[in-house]
Amino acid sequence: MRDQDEELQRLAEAGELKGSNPDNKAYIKVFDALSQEPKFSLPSSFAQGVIQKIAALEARRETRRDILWLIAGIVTFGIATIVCVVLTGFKFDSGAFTFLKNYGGLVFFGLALAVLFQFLEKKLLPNTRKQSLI
Amino acid sequence: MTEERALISRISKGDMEAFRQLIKQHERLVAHMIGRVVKNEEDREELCQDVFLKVHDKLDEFNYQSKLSTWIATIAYRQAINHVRKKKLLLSELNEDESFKERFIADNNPAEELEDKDIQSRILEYIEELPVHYRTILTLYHVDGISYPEIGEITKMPEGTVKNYLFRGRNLLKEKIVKYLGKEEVL
Repeated sequence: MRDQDEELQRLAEAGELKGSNPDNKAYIKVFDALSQEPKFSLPSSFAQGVIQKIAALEARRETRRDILWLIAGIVTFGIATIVCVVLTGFKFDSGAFTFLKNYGGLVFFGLALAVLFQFLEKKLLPNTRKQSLI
Repeated sequence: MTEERALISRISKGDMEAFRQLIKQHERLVAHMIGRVVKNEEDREELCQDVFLKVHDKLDEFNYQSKLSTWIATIAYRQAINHVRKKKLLLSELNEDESFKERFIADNNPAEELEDKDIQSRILEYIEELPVHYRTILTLYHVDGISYPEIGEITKMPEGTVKNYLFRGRNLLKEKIVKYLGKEEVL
């Protein structure tokens, strides 16, 4: 029985199966249906959707990386400070900073300038990585 | 193969236009695979997206030992099977029990018999009722024209098992159609 069916399938695949007996008729119909594409197809915008998702994932990864670097920087700075304090035997004395009292505006201006530079760098310099993704 | 290498090299350098080209070349294959294995319409597109996200992520691991299409189909197959396993509802589909053949051939819904559908669409419905391995192998072979060894590579089945699934799948459908056509002639 299996041999007979195998032969029928071989003939049907080669397009040589003919005859009106039920097995032959059924195999011809089965092979016709099997070569039809499944109904499910993807929308024309599918590729664009995937690319946008990759860009979003990449941006998220980059943000996470930046945060990790920031944390690592803060931790390193903290450790370095402790090491310095221990090695130099530094004692905090506000008297050392009293000269800043007269230059409060200058300190504030310096800090504001640093923040402004950071902001401008983020906003104005082109993000080449993001552009290549989109 | 040279074109594939060039395309992959462009993608590795961050060329998203090249990746768009890769998606266009293989989206039909991935849609067939996911569409045949996963029955839930809503999950299908998202799973196809996940397949290409994985392809993008792991493209550096592609070692040119097989065709790129075979490698992508392998990812799609695993993604689809994992989804079915996660859903658990369809887990029984993965393991075909002894009585499946009898149930498959005998299972006829009387209301369905009365519907005026052509035989082709009825066969397509019967294909959807087959267990997942049959559906996958029949689709890869008949719709995508993938060879036995490549199907074996995708599904991690020996070539003999692939041939056996193919034979039995066609045979089950034939038996069902013989029964259906017989009834139709009597009516």
